[in-house]
Amino acid sequence: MFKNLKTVLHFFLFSLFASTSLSAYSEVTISGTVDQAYETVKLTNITGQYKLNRIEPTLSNYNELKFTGSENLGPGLKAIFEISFKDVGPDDADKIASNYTSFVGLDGSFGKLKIGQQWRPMFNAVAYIDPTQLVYVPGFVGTSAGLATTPLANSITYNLPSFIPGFFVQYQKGYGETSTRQGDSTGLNLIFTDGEKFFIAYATNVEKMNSVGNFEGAAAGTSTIAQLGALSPYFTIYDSTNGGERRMATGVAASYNFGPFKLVYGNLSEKVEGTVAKKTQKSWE
Amino acid sequence: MANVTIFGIVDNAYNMTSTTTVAGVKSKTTTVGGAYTGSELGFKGSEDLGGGMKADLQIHFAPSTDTAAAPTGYQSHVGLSGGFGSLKAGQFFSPMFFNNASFDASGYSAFGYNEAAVNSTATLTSNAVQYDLPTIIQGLGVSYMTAKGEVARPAATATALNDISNIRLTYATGALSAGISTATQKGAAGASTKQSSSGLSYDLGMAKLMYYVTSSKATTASVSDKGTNFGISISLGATTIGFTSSSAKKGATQIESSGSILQVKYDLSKRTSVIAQNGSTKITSGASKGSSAAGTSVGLWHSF
Repeated sequence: MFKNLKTVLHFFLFSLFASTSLSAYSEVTISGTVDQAYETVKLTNITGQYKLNRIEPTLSNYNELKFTGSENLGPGLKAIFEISFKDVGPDDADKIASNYTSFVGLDGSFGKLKIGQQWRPMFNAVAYIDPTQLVYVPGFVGTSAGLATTPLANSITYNLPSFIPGFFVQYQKGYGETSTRQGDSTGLNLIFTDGEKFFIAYATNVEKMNSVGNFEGAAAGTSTIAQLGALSPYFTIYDSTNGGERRMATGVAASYNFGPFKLVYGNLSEKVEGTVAKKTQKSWE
Repeated sequence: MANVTIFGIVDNAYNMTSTTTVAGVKSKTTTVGGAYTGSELGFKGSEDLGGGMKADLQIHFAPSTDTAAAPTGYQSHVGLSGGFGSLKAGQFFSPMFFNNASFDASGYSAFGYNEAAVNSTATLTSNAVQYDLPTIIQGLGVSYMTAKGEVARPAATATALNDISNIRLTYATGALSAGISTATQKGAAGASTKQSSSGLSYDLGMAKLMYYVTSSKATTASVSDKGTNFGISISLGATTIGFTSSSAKKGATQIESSGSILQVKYDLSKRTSVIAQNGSTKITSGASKGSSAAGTSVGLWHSF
């Protein structure tokens, strides 16, 4: 575990959002984000002090290219889809675009059902109120909670229709695609907002791990994990060799917009079943 | 200026699969992903060159829409079309692929469980050039494809690796369609594999009967791999029911296997469908006799 002191200076930020529409057999909207910044990161940990200069995306975390569309199927029913790629930006010369959030789904009076790689309910409940828009370092959600800010592969998401104005319920099931069900996860969020002044959310996510409590592919002591730990002060490594079989996260978020300023509170905790260690983040903004 | 069209498919499904070993050990896995065509994203267009001649282009990817994997290249090509027919160069599905797929009542589904696909050339083919003859006799189609393994010459072996020559003839008249395709795929040290696919379909109106046989024989082998696939496709308004039954004999010991797929496709529109599939395969001879695999899939498919 690293104890970090970190400072980030953004000397230059350029962000461009472009959107256009092209009609094919159905209307397809192309949108994207190009986001680059020069960063200086100072890090102090138990092995010494380090300084890192780099060109990285900031506001969105990724450069993104997205294709979205919908088709009206009649009686209030729509087919919806999205195909998006990340890492399409110019900061790494040979960077290959990979899938970001992509899905196909149906949207109607029954709610919304989507299949693909999608944001976790935890993200939708907690991350949206982060006033730093998930900038890597100062955001209270940051990157320390694995169950919060990453899109979930092989997932099915169901949003209930809105029975009460402003009340939003989302359920998600993810599949690790293993015969042992390792990596299977269940997520839920409850959000209540008036869309203007107040926002309150509760979210939970449970992920099945292997029998010794390690993340899939993240066994302690591997060179990959060691390198990540050395390079990034924001990476958390679990080594709960005597731990349980589930990793659980809970998030509570609330905000109130006073007009000139917005008060935000967030509490995100994550724990591996059967272990003592518990990671909690609280933040007032 | 060329007109460019964006097109694609998003195909994701909830899939439950199970396998059973010879010893009777069962294993189940749940997955999410494309189970019919897979997802794709492309840009295609053409330019009118005058005199009935057009330049055609297509740049095409297969994005992963269920994981963070990078997209892979799909059917991308450039070509010319006109009174002489059409010529294209790039990466695309071979004529052999289309001969199998055209006579498969489950749409040659990516779901699997089709034992008839013994011909390895029935696939996406790189470094290929294809020529489609213009229609000279009504109903008759002729396609020829050659693909290069891109091995530097002089090679360490006498022949280029994986060079493919593939021809396909199709004929359609009224309710009857027929197709035959043959291919030669070169291997190392003068070896090669000859493959074929022959198919028939007959449209009865509400139902369509389909049948195709495949074979593959290496010059180094004494016997051929053989596959057969029989299917029926029934249209009931917005619902199409497809059923295929396939079998194969493969390898030097001619290990036998069988498979089946039941597919129900409900069209919510011309571009959006709910697709449910159930399939199974079983090895019926040899050391692995009794081992099997089965799966059920429910998915949503949208093209744009």
